[in-house]
Amino acid sequence: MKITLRSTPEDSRIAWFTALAVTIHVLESSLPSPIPGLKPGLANIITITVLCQFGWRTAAWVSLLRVLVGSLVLGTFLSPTFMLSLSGAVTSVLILWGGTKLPGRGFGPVGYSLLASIAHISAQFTCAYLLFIPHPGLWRLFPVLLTFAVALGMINGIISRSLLTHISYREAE
Amino acid sequence: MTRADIVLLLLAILALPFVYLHYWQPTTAGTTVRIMRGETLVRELALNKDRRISVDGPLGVSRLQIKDGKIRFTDSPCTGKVGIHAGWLSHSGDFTACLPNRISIEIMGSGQYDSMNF
Repeated sequence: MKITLRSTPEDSRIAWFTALAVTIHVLESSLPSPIPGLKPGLANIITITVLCQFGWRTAAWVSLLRVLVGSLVLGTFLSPTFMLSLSGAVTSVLILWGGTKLPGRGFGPVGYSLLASIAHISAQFTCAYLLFIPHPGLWRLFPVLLTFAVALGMINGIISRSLLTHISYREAE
Repeated sequence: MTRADIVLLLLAILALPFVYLHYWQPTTAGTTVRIMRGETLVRELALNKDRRISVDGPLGVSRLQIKDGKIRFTDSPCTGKVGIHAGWLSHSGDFTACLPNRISIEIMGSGQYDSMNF
């Protein structure tokens, strides 16, 4: 019996961007971090770029697949790291969905990136507090990491904006 | 940047000082200490009386010292000695533990809660 799987152009587009995001995610995980939990979140540049170019649906796939595949590659699947990653990705994808519903010109890459980074860090703190470290002292770190989230969200948004203006995307035949 | 981007960025930056104010409220001096073994409360002691305490854990005896409203681990049968390195604790909400020996201490304030969030 022969099984044929037909993939749509959207499928291969999702696969390509997921591969790119996973690569960044894995490379980034080897960077040293001055504060536990502080990451530049460069893989989100891909999510935001895809969101602006192809819409929310594709971006949601890329973001969630990136967390899943990234954790399989790094060997953190179902570990606390993975749970924190997943909670951040799910929340930011939901918040971004809300962001796309804004009337008028809506958000650009910088706004989306800020929304995503703030959603990420808030969800990760809530998840860490509820599942792993149920001690109120944990929240003392929150303002510091939120500050970094705002700064890095803005920087990633600017990178994403320049990506969007410099690349022209051509569908593979 | 679109107008929405600028509004969001300004809101985020303006909100930051308030987030610091909210989460970095000054701590108050604690009045009692709770000594836990795993999930169970072993003893709750006032910090105003100097004393030394020994608590049994799965690995052996952890020793604590209360002095001048502060408490510290003086000895614990673990390898990391994290609890000992935490030094003196005196503010409500302060917490340290010897996880291998399952002994943790937490300083409590005068009230049941040192802050309420809704």
